[in-house]
Amino acid sequence: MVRVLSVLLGFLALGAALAGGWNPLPIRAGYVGGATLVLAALAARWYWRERQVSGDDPGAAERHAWLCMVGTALICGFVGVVLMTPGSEIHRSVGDTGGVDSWTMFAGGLIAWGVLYDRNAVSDERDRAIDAHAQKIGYAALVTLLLVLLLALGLAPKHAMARFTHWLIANTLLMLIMVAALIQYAAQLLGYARSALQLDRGADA
Amino acid sequence: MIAGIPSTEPIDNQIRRLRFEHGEMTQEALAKAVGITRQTVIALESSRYAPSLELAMKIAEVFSARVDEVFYRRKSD
Repeated sequence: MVRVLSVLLGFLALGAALAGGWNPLPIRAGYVGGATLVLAALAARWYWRERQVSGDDPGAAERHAWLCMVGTALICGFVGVVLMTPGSEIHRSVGDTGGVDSWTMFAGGLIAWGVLYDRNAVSDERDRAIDAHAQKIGYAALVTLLLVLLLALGLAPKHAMARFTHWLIANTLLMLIMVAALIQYAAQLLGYARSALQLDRGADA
Repeated sequence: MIAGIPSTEPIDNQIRRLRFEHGEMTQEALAKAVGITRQTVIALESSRYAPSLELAMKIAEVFSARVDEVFYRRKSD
């Protein structure tokens, strides 16, 4: 559980840092984020192969959840800070709005998916049960977040709403969907973590 | 029990013993035989997952046993 939350917060922080201007390389933040996702996928593939020897490697559905959580956390952190930055509410068709970087990170996530793709991957009823439980949590989170946004839009004083242009509202809605998905993936991985607490006891010799 | 499978009484089983009695069948081989993942076999053996009736019957068939010979409720004191 600590590992799930650490990875989640780590990639959220990385996305936020990239949006906040922290970039150690002379390339766009999107490339840094995308490359990080690909490198993380390569590292995960190597790590899971090592664990396969002892028989405690994760199944295909859990690997997929890891990839989705990491990618979504990175983009959520990035988009969240972009949306909170004053001036982002001015929709521009050109210039640095963060959109290019977000989509570059998404492309990096697709490459990472290719790195981890396993054509023989199967999921079973246990995976579906954990996934169904996580989807319930994700759905409840989405409804809660939408209610909060609705109340904010409806009840906030006029001066506080000055920033809420159509562009910002649309992107905030997109952000809420991503946050709900992030909660769903985290819940899925926590489900696997709970299930694996006694993994060592049951593993093959 | 894992999330999504509510149960107050864990379902124990004899899968581990039966595997070894059937030519030391590996978890991977059992998983392939019944169409589940090796991780689910591990979860079943450590009583962290209660299988569906369909899966329980498939596993029992692999060992040519009755379902109640493979799975049983853990008696609470």
